[in-house]
Amino acid sequence: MNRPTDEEIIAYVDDALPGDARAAFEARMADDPTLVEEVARHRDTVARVRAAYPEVEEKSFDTQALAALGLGGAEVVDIAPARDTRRARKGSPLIWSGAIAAALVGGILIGRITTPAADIVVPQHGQLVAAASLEKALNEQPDGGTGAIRIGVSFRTLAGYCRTFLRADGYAGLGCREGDGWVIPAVAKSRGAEPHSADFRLAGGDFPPALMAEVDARIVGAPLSSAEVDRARRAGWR
Amino acid sequence: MSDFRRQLIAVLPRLHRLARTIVRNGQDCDDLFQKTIQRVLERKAQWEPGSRLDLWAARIMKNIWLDEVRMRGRWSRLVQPIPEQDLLSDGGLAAEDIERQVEARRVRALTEALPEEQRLAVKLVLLNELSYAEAAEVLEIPEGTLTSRLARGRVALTRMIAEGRP
Repeated sequence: MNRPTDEEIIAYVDDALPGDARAAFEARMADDPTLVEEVARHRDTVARVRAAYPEVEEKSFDTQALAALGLGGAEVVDIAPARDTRRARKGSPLIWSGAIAAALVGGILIGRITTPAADIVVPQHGQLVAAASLEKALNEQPDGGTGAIRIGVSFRTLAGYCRTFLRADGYAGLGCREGDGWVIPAVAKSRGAEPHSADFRLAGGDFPPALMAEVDARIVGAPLSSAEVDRARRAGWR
Repeated sequence: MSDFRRQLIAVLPRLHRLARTIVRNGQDCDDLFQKTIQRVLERKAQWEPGSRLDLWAARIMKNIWLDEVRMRGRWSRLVQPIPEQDLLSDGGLAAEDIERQVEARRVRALTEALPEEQRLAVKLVLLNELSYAEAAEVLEIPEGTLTSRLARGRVALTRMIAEGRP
């Protein structure tokens, strides 16, 4: 009888031999102590390799993680009539990416959002800008915190600073510093958030994935740390 | 949400685990994972509904990785090798724990030093627990080629471990 090949020995160790081949292999082992030793050495290698790589906890994906991967889906308010394409990222003529455009299907149109969001955004020179209450929050509040308007993350873009915000009724948006004010290139209604209490907590999932995709499209580097936010605030977001 | 997206989201944890198996350090893992999902979305029209989305996406990941490896190979003389991330310290560990850490580190180094095709076969089967058929499908090679690479890698590892190679 020929000695089993390395492939056969490994397949035996991995329990990958079909039934009859396995039986034949075991019959061979009964007559060949060196084969038994070899199998034992390979089993030891398997155990050592598995022990050398610790089991890592399986990663879970929340709505923000999904959005960052381009797998978000949320109702996004189409503010196309008010958008200013000069604000678009360098090299990209469109503010709304394909994924975002897809997410617009079934979304709320600007005409319908005007009423509920009118107190935080106002049209000005063909774009939406932050109204007084939102402007104050964007100017002064740290990330997180409590209040009728929360700030989510703050980050740098090629053109300056942007911050995400969320209002207690679930309207979420992106504010980007331009001149002395904040332009609002994206607003969306957060699907899950229905809280009306003034001290609702900010959770990552409150921001619609499509909005996070907008963040992802603009962000340069990592989000600002609280110390960087504070420095930027004191410097007037310039 | 489309059926494709739903199915893809369902296999994300598995794909992320696969990325961790394929690459050599944490940063590369997220990078590889993100590039894979991006390409999967770009090519979703090429996926045959009813076939296994996880294996299809895994093949895409493998191809991105091999491109990366080839590119790094061209630049390897200019690039410093990435040091092992995990620092050894005696941070209150008992002697046998330190010994275990040293041994784990040695086995990882030996595994990672295998030729790329053997390294992938060994890691997919032993760490990702893919069957031979699944691993062959991911690597886009016949099953016989997979078993041959796997055997060469495992025989080499077993020999190096026995020799006490650092």
